[in-house]
Amino acid sequence: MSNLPEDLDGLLWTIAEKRDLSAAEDYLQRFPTHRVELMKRLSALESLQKFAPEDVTVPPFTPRPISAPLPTTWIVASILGIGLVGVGVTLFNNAGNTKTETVPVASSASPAHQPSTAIPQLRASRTAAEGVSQSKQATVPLETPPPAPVKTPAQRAIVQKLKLDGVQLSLVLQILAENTGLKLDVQPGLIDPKVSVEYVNQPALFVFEDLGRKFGFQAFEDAPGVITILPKKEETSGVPPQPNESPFGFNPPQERNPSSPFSGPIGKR
Amino acid sequence: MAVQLDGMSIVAVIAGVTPFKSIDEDQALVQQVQQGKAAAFELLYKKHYQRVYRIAKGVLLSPDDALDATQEIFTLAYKNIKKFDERSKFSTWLCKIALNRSIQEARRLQKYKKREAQLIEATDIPDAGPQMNDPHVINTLAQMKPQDRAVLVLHYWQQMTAEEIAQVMESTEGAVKVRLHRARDRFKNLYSERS
Repeated sequence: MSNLPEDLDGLLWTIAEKRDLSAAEDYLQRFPTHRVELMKRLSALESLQKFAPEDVTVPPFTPRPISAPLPTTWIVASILGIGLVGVGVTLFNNAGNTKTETVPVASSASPAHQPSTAIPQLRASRTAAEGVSQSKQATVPLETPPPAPVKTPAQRAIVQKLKLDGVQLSLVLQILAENTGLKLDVQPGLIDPKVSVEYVNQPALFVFEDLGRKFGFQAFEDAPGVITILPKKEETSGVPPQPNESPFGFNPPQERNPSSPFSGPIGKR
Repeated sequence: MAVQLDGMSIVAVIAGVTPFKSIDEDQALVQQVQQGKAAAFELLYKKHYQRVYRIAKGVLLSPDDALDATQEIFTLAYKNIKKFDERSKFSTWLCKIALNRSIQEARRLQKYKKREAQLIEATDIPDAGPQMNDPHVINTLAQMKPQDRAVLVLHYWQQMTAEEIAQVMESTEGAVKVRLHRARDRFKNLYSERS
């Protein structure tokens, strides 16, 4: 900033902007010591205005991928990596509690009710939210009726937020499994397109099953903590399968034998 | 003379001098794009290209970066044109995108100090007064913040008033005047030092 009074400073800029020579002469007659300051402003503004780019040839409009505006690919990769780690941390935080819980042990006396995997999202969220209180009931004596439904690890693990764009399906499954503490058993023949998914506060099992409905495979918890991915066969995929359809004769978990060794209240051995 | 878009005549033309004389031409073109006539965007693109390029060039300084940024700015405008609600002029809305994107890009790149150093080392500056590629000007602008460069560009290259700049920058006229004054003063001081 110059040391000139504010009014004179403004006046000098006005003279310089308008390039009014007669006004400049009048001013310098009154304030001859300001000649250098006026010349600086004239020179700076003239240079700046002349520096304005000339018109360029208009190239054809070629839409750009805005999501990747950075000049170097490693920056893009690192941001993607940070994003994935963020998703991972979010998922891990939710899966952490479920990993430490004991796996339900067999009980033929009280077959557990397995919630339907085809239920709407609202119900899935509600049942997932009940998971903690239900697991606490494991300490209640068996005589206390009724026995609480016990959820499998894949039903207890909650995917708090998962949003992936243009990621291969196999990677999505892997990210889900690793961050929910579940094991993945992918059978051969899985089609692996790039997909975009978004889930908020859903049980992991629901997410796997929903992905299966959308991308042509059957997902079920074959054993506690183990998600089996069974790709749909070609001959049955000619017609897009309807949601909840089970063209392979597999029964989803809710339809399994209630006397399954993995059903029953916690604590009874 | 009228502009044809997919068989539709969309622009009322005055005197046949140029298709860009109608007062509401931008608005008509925007409406066409919003209705799915992508070809209308090509006309908006050609009409406003130089203006957007100048903003990008003034903020980013590098012609190559400015060309890239200009394409990105129009891509953004195209993608978001359905959100344009005509509360402001299309040109103002576009300038806003151009300014924000250019400043964002300038911050991200952060390579101007390096470039400035290279220019200082590589340039034997002749005493020939201001010129189109005056390295003094480039180096001086490179030392300034992108926002300050932007306000100078809008005022001295686009001949925009403080009120118009305030609309683009989503600020008040008074704040723009203060910023312009400071930016101008800083440019003058830096430029004088180098000269």
